[in-house]
Amino acid sequence: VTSVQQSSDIDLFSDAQLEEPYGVFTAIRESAPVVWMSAHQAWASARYGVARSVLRDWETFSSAQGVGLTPELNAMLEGTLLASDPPLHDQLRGILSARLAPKALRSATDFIQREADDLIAELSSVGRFDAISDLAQRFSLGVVSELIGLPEEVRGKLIEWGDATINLLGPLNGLAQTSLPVAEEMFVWLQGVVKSDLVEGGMGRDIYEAAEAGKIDQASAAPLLSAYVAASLDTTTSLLGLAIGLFTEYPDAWRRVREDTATIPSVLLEVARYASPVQWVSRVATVDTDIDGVTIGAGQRVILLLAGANRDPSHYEDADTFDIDRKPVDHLAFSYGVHSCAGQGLARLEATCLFTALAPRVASFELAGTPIRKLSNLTRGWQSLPIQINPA
Amino acid sequence: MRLSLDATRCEGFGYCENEASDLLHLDEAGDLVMDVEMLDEQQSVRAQAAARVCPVGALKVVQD
Repeated sequence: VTSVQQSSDIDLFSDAQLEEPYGVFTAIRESAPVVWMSAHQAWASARYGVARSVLRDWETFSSAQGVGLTPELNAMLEGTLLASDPPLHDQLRGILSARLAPKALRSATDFIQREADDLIAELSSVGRFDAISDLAQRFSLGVVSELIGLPEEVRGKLIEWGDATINLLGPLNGLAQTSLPVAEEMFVWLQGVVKSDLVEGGMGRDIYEAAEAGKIDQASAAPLLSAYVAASLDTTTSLLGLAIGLFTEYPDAWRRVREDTATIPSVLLEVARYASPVQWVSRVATVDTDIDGVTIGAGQRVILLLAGANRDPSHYEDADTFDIDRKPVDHLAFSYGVHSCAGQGLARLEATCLFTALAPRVASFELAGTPIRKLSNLTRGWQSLPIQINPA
Repeated sequence: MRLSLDATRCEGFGYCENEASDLLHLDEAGDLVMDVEMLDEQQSVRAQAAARVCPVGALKVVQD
């Protein structure tokens, strides 16, 4: 049992912690509303109520000073969607939500379902494969490259670029060091992108057209494109892989999904709550303030451990139990408030299409080897998940 | 009491509709439409639930 007081020197980003984070999240949650993490010079909270109220109050807890843990990354993020408050935030978000809001995604549904059906038809005949590289990654990469309208020559780079970029949000540990040159390669490419590089009608080209039309600054175009590139892959891949992993562990849950595929969206809510593909976000206090009796100084950073908040037993009964009847509509896996994931509708749609394709063909999933955790400074998921599917 | 919508934030996720389909709905275009102006006591409970599940916090129950 890990014991944490109101301050702690635990490294939230050590390999051991990233492998198995929940023990420390529980200890942090139980010891105080917010705990000072000396290794990160920031507060951290694993309580549902704290996370929700901090994320709702963007005026007191701002994103504009950056949402990463290093000054270097935060300098690079200046003026981007992730690292801005309203009104700039709303202007940038509007460009993405014009394509990512549920009503805008209707026109993409048939395409995504077809991609899922084709891939699952192919994998069903194989039977044994890696649920990450052969399925989750391949599916989300195919969908996202097409929707953004990226040139062929960069599609093969997308997975490593996305992984590298999100690793930079954490401290400058080994993962971040290794990621620097890879992310650099993406930034160099982004700076050189012109409208005609991107497929007409795609989400990427829309950004450059919005810049031409004066809806956003020219300088905001490349960072917005990077929001698509960096945020759309590892997150969704993690969600899909975690879901399949849970179905290998809970075959009865999968059996029930197959009996009533209308439950897929609500089962996915529980997957997101229980497994939290994105583990944390952070904000900076703009004024001296108070969180449940703990004084937070102006300029201090607060890390909201979404994964810990999603397991808070004061909000979810038997919070450490995976329960597909729970329907946790208020989970925080996509964060909450003005910065609530802009791509959550697409992530849900991709996942719903994929499991809709799997349900009629797959009676059960079984592990066919030892799964390997993917270590990331932001997300939690599988690097490799060898499975065998038993045909229906 | 009434339910106030910040239309610039609403992206039409529609979770609110599951909580209070008598108070608001997504129209055919996918835009949220408020169906009730003033809330009575019972409606305000469902309105709170609808506000609670909005991912972007676009809904609020306000006292006039």
